[in-house]
Amino acid sequence: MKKQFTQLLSCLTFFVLASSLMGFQQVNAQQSVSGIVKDEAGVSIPGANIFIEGTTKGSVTDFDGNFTISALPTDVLIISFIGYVTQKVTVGNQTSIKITLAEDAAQLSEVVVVGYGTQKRSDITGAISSLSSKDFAEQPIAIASDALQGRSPGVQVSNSSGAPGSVAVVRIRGANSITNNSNPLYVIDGVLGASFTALNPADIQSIEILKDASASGLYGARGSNGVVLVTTKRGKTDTPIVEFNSLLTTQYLPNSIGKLSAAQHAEVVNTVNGTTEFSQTEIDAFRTNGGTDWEKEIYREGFDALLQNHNLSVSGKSGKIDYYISGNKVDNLGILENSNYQREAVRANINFEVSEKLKMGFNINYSDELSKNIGNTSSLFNPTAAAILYSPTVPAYGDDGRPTHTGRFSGIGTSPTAIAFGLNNNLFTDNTTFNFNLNWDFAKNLSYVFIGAKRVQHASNRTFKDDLADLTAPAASVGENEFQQYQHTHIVEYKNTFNTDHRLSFKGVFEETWIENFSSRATGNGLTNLDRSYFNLALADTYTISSGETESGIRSFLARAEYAFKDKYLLTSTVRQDQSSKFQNKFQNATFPSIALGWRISEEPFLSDSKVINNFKLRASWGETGNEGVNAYSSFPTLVTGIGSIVDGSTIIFGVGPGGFTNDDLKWETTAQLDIGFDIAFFNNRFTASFDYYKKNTTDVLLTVTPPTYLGGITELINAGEIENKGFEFMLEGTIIDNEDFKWDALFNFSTNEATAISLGKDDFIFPAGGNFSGSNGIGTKIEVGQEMGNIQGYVSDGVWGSDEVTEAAVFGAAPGDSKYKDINGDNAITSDDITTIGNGAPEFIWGLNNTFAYKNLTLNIFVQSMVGHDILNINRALTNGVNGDSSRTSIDQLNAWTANNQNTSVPALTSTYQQQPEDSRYIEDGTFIRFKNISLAYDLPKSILESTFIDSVKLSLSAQNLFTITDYKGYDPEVSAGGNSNVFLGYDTGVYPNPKSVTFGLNVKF
Amino acid sequence: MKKYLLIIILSSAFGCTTLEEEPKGLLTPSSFYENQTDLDAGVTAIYRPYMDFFLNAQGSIPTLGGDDVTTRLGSNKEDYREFDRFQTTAGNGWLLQHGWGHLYRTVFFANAVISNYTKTPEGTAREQAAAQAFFLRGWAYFQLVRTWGPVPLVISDVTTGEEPRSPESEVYEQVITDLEFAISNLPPNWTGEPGRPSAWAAKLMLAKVYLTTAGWPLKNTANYAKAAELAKDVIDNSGHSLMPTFRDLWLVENDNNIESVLAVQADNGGDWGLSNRMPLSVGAPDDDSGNGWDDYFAEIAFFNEFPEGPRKDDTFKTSFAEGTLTWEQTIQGNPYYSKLTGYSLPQNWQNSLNPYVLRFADALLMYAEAQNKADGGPNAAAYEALNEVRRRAAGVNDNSVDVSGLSSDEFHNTVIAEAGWEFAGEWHRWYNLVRNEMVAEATAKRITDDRELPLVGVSVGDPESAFQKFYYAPIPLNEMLLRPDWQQNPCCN
Repeated sequence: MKKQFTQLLSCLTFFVLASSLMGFQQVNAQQSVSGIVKDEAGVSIPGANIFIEGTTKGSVTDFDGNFTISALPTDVLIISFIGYVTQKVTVGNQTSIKITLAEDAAQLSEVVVVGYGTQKRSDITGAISSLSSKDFAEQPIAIASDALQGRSPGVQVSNSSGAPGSVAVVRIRGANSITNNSNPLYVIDGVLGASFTALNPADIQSIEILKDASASGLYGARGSNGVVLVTTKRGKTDTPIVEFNSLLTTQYLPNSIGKLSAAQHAEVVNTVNGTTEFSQTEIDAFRTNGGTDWEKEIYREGFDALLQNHNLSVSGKSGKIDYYISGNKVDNLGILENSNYQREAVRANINFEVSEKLKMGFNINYSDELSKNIGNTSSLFNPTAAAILYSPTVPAYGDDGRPTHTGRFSGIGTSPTAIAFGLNNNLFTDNTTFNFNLNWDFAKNLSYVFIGAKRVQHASNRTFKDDLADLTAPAASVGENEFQQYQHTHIVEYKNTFNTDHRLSFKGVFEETWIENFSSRATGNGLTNLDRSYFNLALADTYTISSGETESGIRSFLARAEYAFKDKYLLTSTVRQDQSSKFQNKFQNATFPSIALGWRISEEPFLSDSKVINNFKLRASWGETGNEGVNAYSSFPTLVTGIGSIVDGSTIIFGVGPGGFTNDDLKWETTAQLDIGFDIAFFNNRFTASFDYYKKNTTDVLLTVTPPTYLGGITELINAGEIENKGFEFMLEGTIIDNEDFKWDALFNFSTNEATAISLGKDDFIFPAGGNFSGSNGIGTKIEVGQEMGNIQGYVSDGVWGSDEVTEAAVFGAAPGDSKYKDINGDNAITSDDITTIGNGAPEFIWGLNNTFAYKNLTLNIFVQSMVGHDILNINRALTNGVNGDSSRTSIDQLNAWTANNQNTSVPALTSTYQQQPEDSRYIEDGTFIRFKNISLAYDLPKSILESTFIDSVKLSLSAQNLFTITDYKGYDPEVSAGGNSNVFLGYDTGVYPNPKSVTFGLNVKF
Repeated sequence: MKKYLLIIILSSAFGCTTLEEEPKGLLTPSSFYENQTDLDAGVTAIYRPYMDFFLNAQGSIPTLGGDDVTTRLGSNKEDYREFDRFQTTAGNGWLLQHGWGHLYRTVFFANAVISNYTKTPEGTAREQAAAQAFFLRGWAYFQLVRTWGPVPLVISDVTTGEEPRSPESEVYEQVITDLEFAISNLPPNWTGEPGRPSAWAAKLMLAKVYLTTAGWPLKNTANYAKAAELAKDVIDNSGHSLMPTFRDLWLVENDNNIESVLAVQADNGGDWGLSNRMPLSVGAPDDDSGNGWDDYFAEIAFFNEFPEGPRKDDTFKTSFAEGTLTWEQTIQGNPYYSKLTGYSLPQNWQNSLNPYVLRFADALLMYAEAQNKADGGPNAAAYEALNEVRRRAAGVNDNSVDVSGLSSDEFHNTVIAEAGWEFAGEWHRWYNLVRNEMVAEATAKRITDDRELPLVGVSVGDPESAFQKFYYAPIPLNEMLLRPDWQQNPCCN
């Protein structure tokens, strides 16, 4: 690939050279006046219009508020910007003009980052949600994805694991893909595919979420899952601002799963087996000493589970240089013993004004993260699941003081303490991003922007499994991964206004990104010296090693036109072409068009004078975007190496075998999206609302399917079928009460999404790969043509056979007290043909409500977030109620088991030997929840106290996160999912690290 | 202006080549198998799932219906219990992973070699490499067909995913073809590499296939003679013979001994997955040292009937916790299979003991059974074969434990019983019972009080017809969901 990039470089040189030459000609042809437009606070105004009075000549300010225009000394410039009072200035002998616009209180004014540039809010035709740092200022956030949760319609953010440092699953308007990546594209300051975990939330100035095809179409082949644009802070004020922010959070297990006591469990085991597995003496002893509370053994709370988050930043502006420098330290101990997350991050954003026409910026972000024991969600071999399943009759520690390894009647081989303390999985990641950008107004109405970026990430995964977690094979491993990402982007933009009524901008972009990845891993098996952990892998019986590399690249061309007629009728059109190395030649190129129309009805004569409605805009868009979310070399036929076997009694020799089916016909997923919406503002812009309806159809869906195991136990990646996502989104924001002393602001958002499989290629249904959660029968999720996505499969419970149903039960080989299943196909047998849909893991709708009450110096924030209508298969409840035979029957439901005298129950008789199923509708629970995500009270120290000091402001806050969750779900947390980032395995809970409850004390000081 | 821009963009697009992947670290199949080294690497891969099958106790799961083995209450042993209690379900995860999965992965790797080996230059080395693939595929299908009955027959690296379940007769035909290729092309022995099958191993495997097809369900009785002929050839000409004492068979230092016709080459020094984990799985109960997994152990009635002698002493562990507990006093209350551990407990919970795939005693007892059935009565060689095994079991060199003068049926029953004891816990018993339709007879002796797990799907004393539906294991649920056109086996239909 190197050779090609050299070739490319020559292409580029030509491109840049040609652009500059053209600019050079333009400059020679014109005499120009430049200037800068700022607001009263001294902040630059991008996108302001500059006209020469009486002519059609005009210009627009760039991102930094600068403009250039050719004018005669007698010309009068008219400077206007929505939301500000229009100003007139005579040019005279000035060549550089500074203009300060006064805010026009009656109008909304906002510039929105839309990708490869900015746009005025009023001009936007796409569906874009914006968040500013103020929106989440009252919520203590350590991981940036939490800032998105519950705040924007159409954006579903689920903390599928509560482990410290874990990133939430973000879905914008549902998941288009089935088994492949549906994460949105993260773009930080123009750098595509940036790391969202490495980002310090305190550095965020604003976040824009691009949802419809017109907005995300700018990102073509990477846009179909939506795009999250993050703009980081920059210095604005002439006096430097030093800000110190510190949060101390104590964390708690959200609730406790009701389990049998040790004595109760011993009695249940005796009844189940009809034997004396536990003697009366033992049971009496349990009654006295209570047995083991496994939750207490593996969870910690309060200051033992402290989360600290400290930030220090300096920002300001000095002459032609502005700067923002910050440092961040997070230390999260987590509620689970032996798990934690740490991050240290620094950022410097520095911008220079080389000349009025040429600006340069340089951003550096470095972060260093450590995550310990935060993975492991879909397996029962994790402490959370083990604590639910383990018998309270088993002591937590043995006579030697070490955690117990194994215990009777507990369902899994290794005890919660042995897993929690015996397993050490450390992930060290450091991440550096360099971002150089240049902005050159090289000719009248023409500008050139260059972004060059490199991201280097080094991850080191060091694991140590001692003899507690694995009696027979303690092992340690070290895995190193070097990741490098390069990007260069060239944007040429032309902006002009004709006859005052026609505003036109045209943008051409050339961009390339490529990624190089190199990994290696060494494992020592059968450690001979456990004290040395992973620090000396040679102290092992044997070693395994591996290494590998991938390289991939995308080259893109983009053209975008924006046109506005009389600021009323708006048109945006984009075409992007992408070429990806991940696909073979014939499928390498793809073109993604989009078009959007906007009509600002409020500008029409019949509404323009309205005292009630200030802004009313109708929007419609259609377009196509893509998803190339597969791994490099996916379409490449490969062989599996390093398959070890022995034929001589002692020497391991390594073989080579087929890696699975190859598919050189692999190509992009394409999503066509229609969006119709409106934005409205009324009562002097006190209330704003927006509504969108969308329908997305993804074709050539990238799908990892599991063919039958008899084909060799492999999976296959194919393009098959079509998925439809549709739904609507509603957002209402406003100031409900606005008195001198008391103010109540509220923001409500609501959205629905329904995903349906329209076709699945040649199949009527598929079982996507990866649904075999341990503890389950592996039935997983079935995707069926014409059906909703996320359908959980299983047997339908019909209660328990009663004493009066001896004959009926006998048909199924059952007896009274046995579990009764619906015989769906009526063949008088319960077989795999009776498996059907027993629930759906996708929510019907989600909503969020953020309230801010301000009374004098006190601010109260109440943020509620909710998911409604999703089902969860509580696998642990199944496993603790007899699915494992006599193992791990620790559920309190066991006390309500069927007996001849207690027939009104769904819990089968303890003595029942009839096979029970984990995928059983009786273990399906409603996952609906309403969560008080954040309640915070902040107090600003009165200015009068601080007047005599060097301190500008001091804010103290006390807040609680996840304080109440209203739900019927019986597990720890209805938000978590064993499927993690999966699009299809929704609603499986095998015992996932729950989201903690927490209390935070915050201090914010500005100097 | 737009025109100029367009030109620039277009020209830069025009001037640049496309992005092409050049994986630096990956091997690609198109150029593989073209030389002997590649082909040998392809063959090496096939051994892995075959070894996985034997080195995990879970490979035994479908044989738990036999009267030689049972399992415990509780723990994670439900997948074993289902078979022991005749309550099998398609959802049995270990059956899918360790049985069906490992066997079809063997087939998958073997097919890659069989479909491509002709790319390699001709020669003995090439034919011997291919012959190993044929042997292993034949073994895998034999294991599949006698466990599940009709199974999909995939015999090349091109598959459709639409394969039907081929009837037993077709699967056996393929097994025989594969093993015949192996017999013709494998060497009589592999110097220094006893883990590879010799032509003798292929012959003895084929003898076992013929013996099986002569019984239930095909009952192709003409195959008894073929089985007898092959087994006799191995007895007379292979150079293999019995180890002098039964205990010697199970010592790690005697791996690949004279009796071993084919054994999986376990090694505890390397990859944990290639060590023999039977000591952990079946070696000892919890209350001995706290480490045992109790995957399976001996049924009490079977143990009681087992003839006394050195073979019994060296098959079972009956005293635990440094002699403080008898087997009746342990939590499980059953004897354990010490032979499978290489008597390495409590020092080594996994070891390098090579599990036998085929051993000389197998040739003797197969010959005895097949000859008697083929000719309607045992000849002198059959008596001698049976008595050889009995003498060693009793630890005698004279004819004091020999049998003689039996009717054909008596002789048959004696051989089947002898094989049960000789190969107790070695995953043979169930298949012997099924092909001879003797499951009910064996199960009738099971203890019905709470010393053993109670049966669920059948009752002690039920006729053979009640057990027939359990002859075949359920097709794993995963496959049934993907192939709803298949008919599930009678157990779970």
